[in-house]
Amino acid sequence: MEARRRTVSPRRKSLSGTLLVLTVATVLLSVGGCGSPSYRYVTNKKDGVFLRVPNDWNHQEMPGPALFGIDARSVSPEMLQGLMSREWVVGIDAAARFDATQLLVPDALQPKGFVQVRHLLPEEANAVSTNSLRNLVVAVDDAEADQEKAVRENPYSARLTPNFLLLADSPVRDRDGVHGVHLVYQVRTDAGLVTIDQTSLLDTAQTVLYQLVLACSSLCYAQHGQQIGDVAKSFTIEPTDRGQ
Amino acid sequence: MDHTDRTADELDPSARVATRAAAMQPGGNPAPAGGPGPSTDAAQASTASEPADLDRPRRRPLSLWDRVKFLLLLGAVFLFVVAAEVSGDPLMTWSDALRIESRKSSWVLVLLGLEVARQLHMFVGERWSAYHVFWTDRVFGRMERRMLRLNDWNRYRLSRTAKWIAGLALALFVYARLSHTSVFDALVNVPGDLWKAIPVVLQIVLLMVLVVGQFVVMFWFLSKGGVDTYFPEDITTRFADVWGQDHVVSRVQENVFYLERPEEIESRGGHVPGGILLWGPPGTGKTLLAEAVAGETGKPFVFVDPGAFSAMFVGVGILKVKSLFRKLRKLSLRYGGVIVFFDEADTLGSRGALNGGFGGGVGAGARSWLTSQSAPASRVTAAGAGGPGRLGREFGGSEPGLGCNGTSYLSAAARAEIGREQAREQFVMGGGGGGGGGFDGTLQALLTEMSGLKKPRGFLNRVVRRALGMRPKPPPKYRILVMMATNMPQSLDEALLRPGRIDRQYKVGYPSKEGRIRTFEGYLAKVQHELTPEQIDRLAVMSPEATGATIKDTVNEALVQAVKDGREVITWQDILRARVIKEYGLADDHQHIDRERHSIALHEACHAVVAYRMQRGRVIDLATIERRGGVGGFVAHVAVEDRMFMWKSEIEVQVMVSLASLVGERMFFEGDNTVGVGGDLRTATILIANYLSSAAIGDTLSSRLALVEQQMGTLSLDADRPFGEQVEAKLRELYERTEGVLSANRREVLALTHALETHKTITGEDVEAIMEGTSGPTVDGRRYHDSDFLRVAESYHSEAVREHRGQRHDLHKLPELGRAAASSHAEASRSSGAGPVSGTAGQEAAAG
Repeated sequence: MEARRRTVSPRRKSLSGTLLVLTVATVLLSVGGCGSPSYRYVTNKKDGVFLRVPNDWNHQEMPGPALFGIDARSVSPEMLQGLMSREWVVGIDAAARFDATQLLVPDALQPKGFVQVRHLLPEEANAVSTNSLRNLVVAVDDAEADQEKAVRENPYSARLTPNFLLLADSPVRDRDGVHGVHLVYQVRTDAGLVTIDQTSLLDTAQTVLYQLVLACSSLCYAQHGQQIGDVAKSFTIEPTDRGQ
Repeated sequence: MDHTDRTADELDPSARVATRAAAMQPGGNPAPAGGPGPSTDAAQASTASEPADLDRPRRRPLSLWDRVKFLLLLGAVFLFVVAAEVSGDPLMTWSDALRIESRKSSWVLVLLGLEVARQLHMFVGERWSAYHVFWTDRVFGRMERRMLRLNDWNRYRLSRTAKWIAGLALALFVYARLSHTSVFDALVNVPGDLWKAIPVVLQIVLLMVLVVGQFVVMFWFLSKGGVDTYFPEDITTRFADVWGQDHVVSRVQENVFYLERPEEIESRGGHVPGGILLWGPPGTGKTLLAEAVAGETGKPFVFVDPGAFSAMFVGVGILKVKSLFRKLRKLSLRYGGVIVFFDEADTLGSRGALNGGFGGGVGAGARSWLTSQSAPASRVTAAGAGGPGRLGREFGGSEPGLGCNGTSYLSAAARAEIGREQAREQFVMGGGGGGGGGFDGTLQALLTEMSGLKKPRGFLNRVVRRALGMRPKPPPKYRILVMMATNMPQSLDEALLRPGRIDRQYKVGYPSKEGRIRTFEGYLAKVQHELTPEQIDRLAVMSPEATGATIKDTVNEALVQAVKDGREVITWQDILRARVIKEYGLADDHQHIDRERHSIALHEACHAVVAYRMQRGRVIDLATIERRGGVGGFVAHVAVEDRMFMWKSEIEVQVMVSLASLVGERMFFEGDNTVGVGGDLRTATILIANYLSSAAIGDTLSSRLALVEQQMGTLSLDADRPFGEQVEAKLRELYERTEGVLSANRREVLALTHALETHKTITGEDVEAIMEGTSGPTVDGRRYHDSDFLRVAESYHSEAVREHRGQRHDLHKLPELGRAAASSHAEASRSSGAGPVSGTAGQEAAAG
C-alpha cells in the first residue's frame, strides 16, 4: 500500500502541473493572439522620446536628415553620417496609407506631421532660445504682428478672414528641465486654412531640440482636434545623456 | 511482480532498465522494434500483469521538470521581451506591450505552441497505448525501417545532403530577415546580390591573400639558407689529401663510384647505396673526407650546415627539409645524381625515448649498433700506474660482451640471453642519450624524404592524369647519396640508420701510423725544422690518438716554443715540449718543498722502473713531478702495439706498476708510506677485482661479474672464500713480486729520482737512457752508472729518511750529477731509436 501511495502521488502532481502550465500557455497565446493594441507607440529610447498615436494612424522613420539651409552638394559622406546621427525624424500620417511625400502638405484631410529629435550643432545651440522655438515652423510672432496690424487697418474683414490666429500658446516645463512651448495656430495658405499643433522643446542644456508638429486643414482639425490634442499631450521627453 | 515494477518506477533510469530487462526475458515478447519508446514502457504498466504490459506499451512518463522546462523557458523569454517593451517607456501599458510583442516576437509563441503540442503528444502517449504504438511503430518506426534499407554510404550521403539543405535554408532565412524581404524574394535575389557582392568578396579575398601571403613569404625566406651547392670544379680537395684513413676512403670511393656509374649495379638488379654515415672522434677528417668526395665526384655536392634546420618557428625545419629535397631531386634529375652532406648530423636530433620499444631508446639503438661495430682494440689496454685521468676509458676491457671470438660458438638461445642483458644495459645507458631537437617534425620529415621518394609527384601527374583515367607516372629514379658526419653517433635516431636510409656506417677513427707520419711531414714541411725521419716516426708512435687537427696544433706549438727561444728552426726538444704542453697541459707553477720533492720523485721513479722493466708493448712517454691540477706527478705511457686482448700476465704487470709506488715508499722510507698511493691502490684493486671476477686471473673460474648481473648466487662464491680475501691475496702476491723488482733495481730507482728532482720532467727517452746508461735528449744517463753514484745517492736518500724521521731539518743540497746538454747529445738520442714500435692503440697517463 505504501508503495502504491508513493507511486501515485507524483503522477498526480505531474498531471496538475502539466495542466497548470498548459492553461497558462493557452491564456498567453489567446491574449497575445487576439485583439490589437489600443495605441501605436512612437518610441526613441536612445533619446528618451515617447509618443502615442491612435491605433489607425501610421508612422514611419524618415531616412536622411532634414538638410534645411544646407547645400546638399557640399555635404561629404562623413558629414552626412554625422548629421544623420544627430537627427531622428518619424513621419506621422493618419491616412490609411503612409505617404512620406504628403507629410508637409498644408491642406491635408487627415492629420499629418512629424516628431523630431535634433542634437544641435554648437552654433545652433548658441543661437536657439525658448523664444525662437515659437518661430521654428512658422514665424508666429511676425504673423501675429501682421494680423494685429491688419486688424488695426481693417478691423472687420481682418477679423472675419484672419490670416493668422493663435489658438493656444502655453509654455511647457516638464520634468528634468525640459522646457519650451506648445502652440496651436491657424494659418491661411493658398490652399486654405491650416491648423498646426506645434510642440517645441529643449533640454536643460539647450543642446537637444524635441519637436512634434501635427497639421491638417482647419476642417480636419475640427474633426480630429481631440485626437491631435491627445497625441500632443502624450509627447513625453525623458532626456538621456546622449545629447550632453 | 506488481510491487517490484512500481518500486522500479521510482528508481533511477538505469535501475529501471535493468528491471525491465529482467522482466522482459521470460516473456519472450519484446516491444515493437519501432524505436526506443515502446521498449521503455514495459515497466510502466503498474496495474496490468506482465504479458498485458508488453502487449500495450506506453511512453515512459516524463518528470514534471522535463514537461515544463521548455515551456518555462519560452514563457520566460516572452515575458522578458514584453517587459523590455514596457521598460523605459512611460506611455506603454502592459496589455499593449503584450499585444505588440505577440506580433513582433510571434516566433516565441509559435515555439511555445509547438512545445505545448509536443507535450500533449507525449502526455497522450503515456496514457493511450494505441496512440503511442501508432506513432512509434507506424509513423517513426516505418520511416526508420525505410531508412535502414539504405546502405550506410547512402544514408551518410542523405544525411549530408539534408544538413546542407538545412544549413542553406537557415542562411536564406537569416538573409531574408536581414534584407527585410520574404524568404522567396531573398532566394530569387541571391544570385543578383551575390554578383553585386563580388567586389566586396574580392576585397576580402585580397585581404586574406595579403595576410596569408605575408606568412608564405616569411616562411619562404626562413626556409632558405643553410644549404650550399658545390660543383666539382669548386672544390680542390681530393681523396689523396685524406691521410691515414685509407680504408674509409676506399669504402667511400666505392659508394661514389656506384653513384657515378649506377648502371654497374642497377643493371644487375641492385640499387645505388642511399647513405653513408661517417662517425668518429672529432678532428679525424670526416668533413675533409666529405670535401674530398665533393672534389672527386662529377656530381653536384650539396652541403647542409649543422644549424640549417634550427629555426625560430615550428614547421620551418620541415619546410627546409622539403625545400632541400626538392632541390636535390632537381639536381639529381639534371646531373644524374647528387650528394648531400649533413655535417654534425647529431644536430638533427633524435626522438629519444619516444622511439621506445624493447631495448629501445634511440641512443640505445644507435649505440647498440655502434657498439657491435667498434673494435674494442683501443679499450683493452689496461691502466698504467695509477692514473686518475683516463682510467674510465681503459676499463672497457671489463665489459661483459667482449668475447674473444664473438658469441658465434654459442647456441641461439644463449646468444639471445646475452643480447637481452646487453640491451637492458644499453637501454639504461642510452635512455638519456637522445639528443634534443627533432620534436618539431624536422627529423620525421627528413626520414620521410629519405625513404619516401617513390610517390608519384606533381599536380598534373597525380590529379589531371587520374581525372583522365590514366595511371600516374611512376617517379623517375632519383639518385641521391646522403652523407652524414658526426662525432656523437649515439645521438642519431635509430630510424635514420636503417638500411634504405643510411646504408653504410663507417668509423673514421684515429689515423694510422703512416697517416700520422704523413700528416706530421705535411705540417712540418711548412716550417723550418731539423727533425730526422726517425724522429718523425717516433713522434707518430708517441701520438697514437693524434688527428690532423692535433698534429697541426702540436707543430704550431713547437714553432711557438722555438720562437720563444729566439730560433726559427724547430728542434726535437721543441716538439717534445710542445707535446707535453698539448698532451698533459701546462704544469702549475708550484715548487715542492725539498723533502716532499724527494718522496714524490721516488714515488714516480718506482712506477717508472717497474714499468720499464716489466711492460711489453708499451713505452714510457713522460715522467714528471710537476704538479698539474690536483696531480702531484705522473708517469705516462704510450701503447705501441695495436692489440685487442690483454693477457693475464699483462694485467698483473699493470697492477705491479700501480703498486710500485706503495712498495717503493715502504722500501725506501722504512715501512712508511704517503696517502698519495691511494689512487694507485684504487686502480690496482679495481683491476684485480674486475679481472678476477671476469677473466679468471685468480684461483676461481666463475665469472662473478655475470653472477652479480644475473642477481644470483653471489654467496656461492663467497661461501668458499670471501671475494675480498681473494682480491687481497692476489694483490699481496703482486706486491711481493713488485718488491723483488724494485730491490733488484735500487740504483735505477735512485737514479730516476735524482733525474726527476733535477729536471722535474723527463721524457721516455731519458728514462730509457738512465736505465740503460746511455745519453738521452735531456739527461745523460751514463753518469748514473758511474761507480760513485750509488754512494752519493744513498747518502742523500739516507739524509732524507733521517729528516723524515724528524732527526734533521735541513736536507743536503741535491748532488750535481748527470747533467747533459740536450743539444750536445741530440745525435746520440736519435741513434738510440724508438724502441719497439708498430701500430698504436692507446695512451695513458698515470699519476702518483
